[in-house]
Amino acid sequence: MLARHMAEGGDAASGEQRRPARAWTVLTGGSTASDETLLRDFLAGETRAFGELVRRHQRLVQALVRRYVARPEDSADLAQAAFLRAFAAARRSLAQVKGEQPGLFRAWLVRIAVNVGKNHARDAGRWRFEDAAVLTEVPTAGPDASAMLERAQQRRHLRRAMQCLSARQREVVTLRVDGGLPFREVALALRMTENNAKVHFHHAVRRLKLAMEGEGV
Amino acid sequence: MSAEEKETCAEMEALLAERASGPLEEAQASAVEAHLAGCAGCRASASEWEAVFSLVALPPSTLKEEAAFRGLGERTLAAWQRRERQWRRARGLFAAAAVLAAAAIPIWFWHVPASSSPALAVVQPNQPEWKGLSAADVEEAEATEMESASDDTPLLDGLALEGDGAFALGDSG
Repeated sequence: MLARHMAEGGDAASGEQRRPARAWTVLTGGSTASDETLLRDFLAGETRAFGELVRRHQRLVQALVRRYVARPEDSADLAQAAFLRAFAAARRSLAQVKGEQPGLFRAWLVRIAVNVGKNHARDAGRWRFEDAAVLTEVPTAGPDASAMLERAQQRRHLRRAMQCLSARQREVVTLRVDGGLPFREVALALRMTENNAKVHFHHAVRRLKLAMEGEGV
Repeated sequence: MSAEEKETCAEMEALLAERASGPLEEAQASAVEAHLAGCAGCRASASEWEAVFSLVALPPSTLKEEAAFRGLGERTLAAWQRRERQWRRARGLFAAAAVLAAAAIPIWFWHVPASSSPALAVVQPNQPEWKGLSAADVEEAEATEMESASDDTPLLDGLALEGDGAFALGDSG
C-alpha cells in the first residue's frame, strides 16, 4: 500500500531553494495524509494520490451503492461513476474551500455515491433490498431450509417497512447500516445536524421494529 | 428492579438500537457494555435490535462482486484520464473554432458590397410616416414636444378637484 512521506522545506544542508519534496513509498501501513491533502496532490498532477483515495474509500462506496443495483456486480460501475463525479466536484469546489476541513471529501463522496445510486435505481425502476440472484448464492451451510425460508419472509416484511419510510429516514438508516457511518458523518453527508440524523434514525427503526413485530417476528 | 434502574434501561434502549446499527462513540460504547454486563433485560433487547439490523443489512458481497471491484482504482484513473483528454480535445476544437470565427468576420465584411449591407444603410429624414405633413406641421409638432419636455410642474402641486373640494390640495381650502 502506498504511504506518503513529506519532507517540508527542502534540503537545508545543500541550501537549495526548492519546493517541498514529496516522496512516495510502498509500505503496508497506508498513507497518513488527509483526504484533502491527497486530493490537492492529485489535482496538482500526482496520480498515485488518486489511487490511494480510491483504495481508501472503495469499501465504503461499494457498501453504499450496492443497495441500489439489481445485479451485485453492477455496483463497481456505480462506484467508478461516484468517484469520477466526486473528483470532478472536488476540482470545481476545492479552490473555494478555506483552510483544512477534515472529512470534506468523504462527505462529498458519500453524498455523491448515494445520489448516483438513487439515480441508477430510478432509471432501473427499482430499489433493491435483496434479490433472487443474491439469495441463491447464500451458502447452504448454517440454518436449515425452513429457517432460511422464515428469514426470507422476515426480509420481505422489512423491505415493505423500509419502503414506507420517508426518503430521509431511509437514507439515514442505509448510511448507518450499509456504510457503518457514525451519526456525525451521516449528518455531514446529508447536510443536517447530528441530532436531526438521530431523530430520523430512531423514528425509522421504531417503525421497522413495529412492522416486524406486527408480522410475528 | 428499582425506578432508577428502569430509567437507565429506558435510556439504554435508544443506544442499543444505535449500537446494533453501527459504531457508537467511545464513551457511549463503554457505558452500554458496562450496563449490558449486569442487565439481562437489556441484553435481550440488544439481541432483538441485532436481529432487526441483520435483516436490514444487505447480504455479504459475492465473489462475482468482489471480482468486479478488483482494480477499481486503476480503471477509475484510466477513465478520468480519458475524460480529461476528451475535454482537452473539445477545448482545443472550441478554441480553433473561435479563432476561425474571429478571422472570418472581417473577411466577410470586406467581401460584402457596401450597398447591400444593412449596417451601412443611411436612414433618410423623410420616411413614410412624415409623408402628407407640411413643414409647418412638423415644426409645430417639434415645438409642442419642446414645451412638454420643459414642463417641470410637480405632480400634486395645485391639484384641486371640482365640486365639494373634499380632495382639494393647494389653495382650495
